[in-house]
Amino acid sequence: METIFWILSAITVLGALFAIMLRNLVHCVLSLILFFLGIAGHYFLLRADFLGAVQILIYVGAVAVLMLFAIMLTRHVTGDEGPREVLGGKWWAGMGTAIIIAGLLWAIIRKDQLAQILPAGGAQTSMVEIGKAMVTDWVVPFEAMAVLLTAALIGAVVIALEEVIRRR
Amino acid sequence: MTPVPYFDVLKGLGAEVILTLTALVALTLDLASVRRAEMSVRSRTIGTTAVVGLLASTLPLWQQLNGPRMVLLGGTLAMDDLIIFFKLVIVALAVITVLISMDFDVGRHVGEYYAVLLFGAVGMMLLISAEELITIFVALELTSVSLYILTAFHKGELRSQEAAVKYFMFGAISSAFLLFGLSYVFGVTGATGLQAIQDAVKNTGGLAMSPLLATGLLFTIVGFGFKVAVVPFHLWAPDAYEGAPTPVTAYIATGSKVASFFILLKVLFIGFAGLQGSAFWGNFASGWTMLLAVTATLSMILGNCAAIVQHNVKRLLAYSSIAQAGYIFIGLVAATKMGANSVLFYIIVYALANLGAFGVVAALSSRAGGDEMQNFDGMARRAPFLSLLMLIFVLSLAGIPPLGGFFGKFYLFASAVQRDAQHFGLLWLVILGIVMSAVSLYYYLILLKHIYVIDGSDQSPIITPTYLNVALGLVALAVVALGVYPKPILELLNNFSYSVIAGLVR
Amino acid sequence: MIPLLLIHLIKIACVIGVMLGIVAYTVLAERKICAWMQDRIGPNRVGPFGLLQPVADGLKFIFKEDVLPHHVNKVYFTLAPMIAMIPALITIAVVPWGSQLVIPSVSHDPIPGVIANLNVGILFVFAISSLGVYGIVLAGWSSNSKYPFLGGIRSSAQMISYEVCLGLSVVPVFMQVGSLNLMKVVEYQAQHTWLGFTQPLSCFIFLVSAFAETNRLPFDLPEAEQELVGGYHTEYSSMKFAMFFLGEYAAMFMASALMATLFFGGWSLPFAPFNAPAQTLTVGLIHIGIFLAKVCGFLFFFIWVRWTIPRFRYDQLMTLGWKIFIPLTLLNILISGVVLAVITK
Repeated sequence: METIFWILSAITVLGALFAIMLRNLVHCVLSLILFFLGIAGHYFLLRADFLGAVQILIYVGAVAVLMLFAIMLTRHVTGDEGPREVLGGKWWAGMGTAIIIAGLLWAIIRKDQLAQILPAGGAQTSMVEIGKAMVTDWVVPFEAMAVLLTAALIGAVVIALEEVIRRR
Repeated sequence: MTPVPYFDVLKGLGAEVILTLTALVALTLDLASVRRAEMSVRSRTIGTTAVVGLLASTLPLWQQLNGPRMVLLGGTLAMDDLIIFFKLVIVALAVITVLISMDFDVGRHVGEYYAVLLFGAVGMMLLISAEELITIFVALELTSVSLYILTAFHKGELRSQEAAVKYFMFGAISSAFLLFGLSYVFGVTGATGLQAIQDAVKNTGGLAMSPLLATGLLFTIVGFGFKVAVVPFHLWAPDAYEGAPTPVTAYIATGSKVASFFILLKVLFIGFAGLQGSAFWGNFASGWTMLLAVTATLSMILGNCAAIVQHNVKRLLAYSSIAQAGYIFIGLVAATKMGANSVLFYIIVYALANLGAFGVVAALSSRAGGDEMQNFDGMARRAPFLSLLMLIFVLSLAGIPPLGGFFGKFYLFASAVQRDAQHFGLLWLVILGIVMSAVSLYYYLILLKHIYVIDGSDQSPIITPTYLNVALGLVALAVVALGVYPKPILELLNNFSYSVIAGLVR
Repeated sequence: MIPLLLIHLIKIACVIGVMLGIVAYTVLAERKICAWMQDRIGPNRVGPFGLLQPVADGLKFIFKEDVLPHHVNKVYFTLAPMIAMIPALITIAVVPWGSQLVIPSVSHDPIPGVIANLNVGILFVFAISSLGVYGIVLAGWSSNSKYPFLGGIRSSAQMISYEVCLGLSVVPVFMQVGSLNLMKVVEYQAQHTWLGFTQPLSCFIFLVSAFAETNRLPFDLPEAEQELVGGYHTEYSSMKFAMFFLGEYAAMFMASALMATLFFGGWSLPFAPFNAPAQTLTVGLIHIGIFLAKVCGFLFFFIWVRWTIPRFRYDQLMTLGWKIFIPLTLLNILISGVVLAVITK
């Protein structure tokens, strides 16, 4: 289990790093997919099968495809021009962030009784339970989510439609 | 599993349900009947529908007034008089925003505009009645997404598109921060209900024992900091305020701020009740009051100083509202019942004055040809009534007696002074606030100078529709009334006997 | 006694072997059936009745020159056909081929007729098969030329759209069964009735969407020869082309297997001893036979439709997906929910 964890973590971290650092946008998206798959693997490792499957289905199967799609439809398909600076000269900001994060992580690992806080092995939840929870205890956020998606859908249509009308 | 009280839930969500239905009706109405009509007719028809829906949504709220405090489904839906009162405030702000919008060119997609505006109101109302992290997050997203969309509504204007993209980027990142922070809080406490978190926090032994909790707290505050636009998380605000259609700016600056501050207050005062630390001079201790004190200081200084050099009215008001957020944080830093009351009082006053100011800007700028300072030269002659209203709103924001802004600020500062009164622990923050208020007077007066003193080239009178004048006049009246006779509202806030705030030490 | 791991490996080998065998012969069947429908004879030179044709085809692909055009992005160009091939091979793991095999000399417990008995079975299938689109998109992009590019874009739009239909269309099935586990779905059908009869609308929409997902006629727009030369295949040759080809037929096999499992009883038949998990080895093997027969039936249907119906126009395809199927599936979910609520009350 532990070996699998480390392998997955390496994949996840490398995917995330390449997604920021590579020059070619398509390569970036593909690294991002690797990252999503790594996260999904972690979910499976935690026995959250449903979450893992949904992660792949939504992020890898839809979101990343849309990203690729969008990149392909823009003119500079590769985006290879010029060197790409991740920090854009603001290396001190990056250093500061890194130091803060490292400090927090060090403190967390040193002091927090993580093993006592988190339930060991994760909880195995079936889809039936998740579905039931959504329409009982979590019915309010669930319905709010529906309104949110409706609003987002309307917004997407309005924003995307604008160009078409102006061109005519 | 206990049976779910669906009927109570539906009753509690009555207002939101009505608003959602109204939004859908507005969409359908626009599509089905008035698509081919004149733009102004369309805007009036759909706008009126929205206003009717908003007013109808208050009916279930009135019915529940004076009821007992109810917390349903682990805090996903809470109901008490304070919540209902603030929902009514949101409705009022949304009604005024709709009225301002009816007079404003919002582009071709009229039905969609009002529908999304109403969805935003639904989000704000859900946010106000939420006492549980997941619901808070979803409602906050609903509000934010609606506002991103509305910001982009100025068809074909690059400024609006840029503003929307910036707003969206910052908003998305702040949501990520917030979610990350909340997930750590959940990880440590094992609870998402605010009350349950409060209980669990007591068992963790505080921040010193659990850096994980400290990280969660920090990230949560950073996330909310973005949403209420305090320094150093303010960068999106001036651009978004300037680029968005002015009624939308008014909505962003008032409705979403009221809801965000209300929920921030609840998260801090209920959920993190045991973690406030101390921001007393010479006696600092880690906790959220210290973080808030730092951001309040930065906001007051940077917001006010940056506002001085602005030439665009909307940008000026944006920086001013960053500074105002700093003042409000002083009340939160006090972390007492009086502090909470002063915050709640001030956000109402602030929202009304800001809404009024943006409403006047919307009505005048569309007719004067722009929202730069020069466009407002000699406005006192061209539109005397609206200029008078602007005077009231701006002076209230500056905190001049006897307007609402003065009393609100006074109350905020008083609550901070009273806390730890014998050692004057928070006096440094109050002094800074007073000094910065004096600075703010400068730029508010510059704006008024353009309106009242400098003569413009164009002298033609500006006629604005009566309904708008009446609506803005009522807002101005409320601002004055809150300053002259704040007692009813204060008693109201006091009487809410907000038991949950008792979670605080004092 | 054989160790469990070995049993699993044998099972995987059998499943993949049988699947690829059937896939290879589906290609031949396609050519034969097409020939009969057009009143021709079809391939009949290699072996008796042309039965060795797949072998000949395979040899031909292997020995052809593997052209790697210099304008392509080499890594992704090579990777794309592999990605296109993989999803069908992975997803077959959760489809139950039979009930169980009782072989006391090999194992105490009956060996289940499925490689991986996942609780989120069908969701896993959708998740993995949604990766298939990358093969096509990458092929289109890395070819660096016009027609493959257009084909890639068309196909990604088409597959995303129809994935939504596909996903929504099976929701009523799981509402009725109460589980996403494909083994349970088949057992439910063995005990009650085939879901194709109780959920005809789901069945129909799933079938049509499956055609779109597998890029088969009448929805083969990504590779429409007359408009796009060969779509994303244009630059491919030799074994890489063969892998796309195999990938397409493997996806077809998978779609047929899902149709059989979800709507037509999987390994079961509505009478004893075929409506309950097998207690003897013979019945277990017959179950597998029943399943494969159903799959072959659907494969025949795929081929039949291809040579019968003309291709859709692209906008018609999108209209059908977004404006007709998605509202219909939502309505279907609503109606199923209401009916189920009434029945269980």
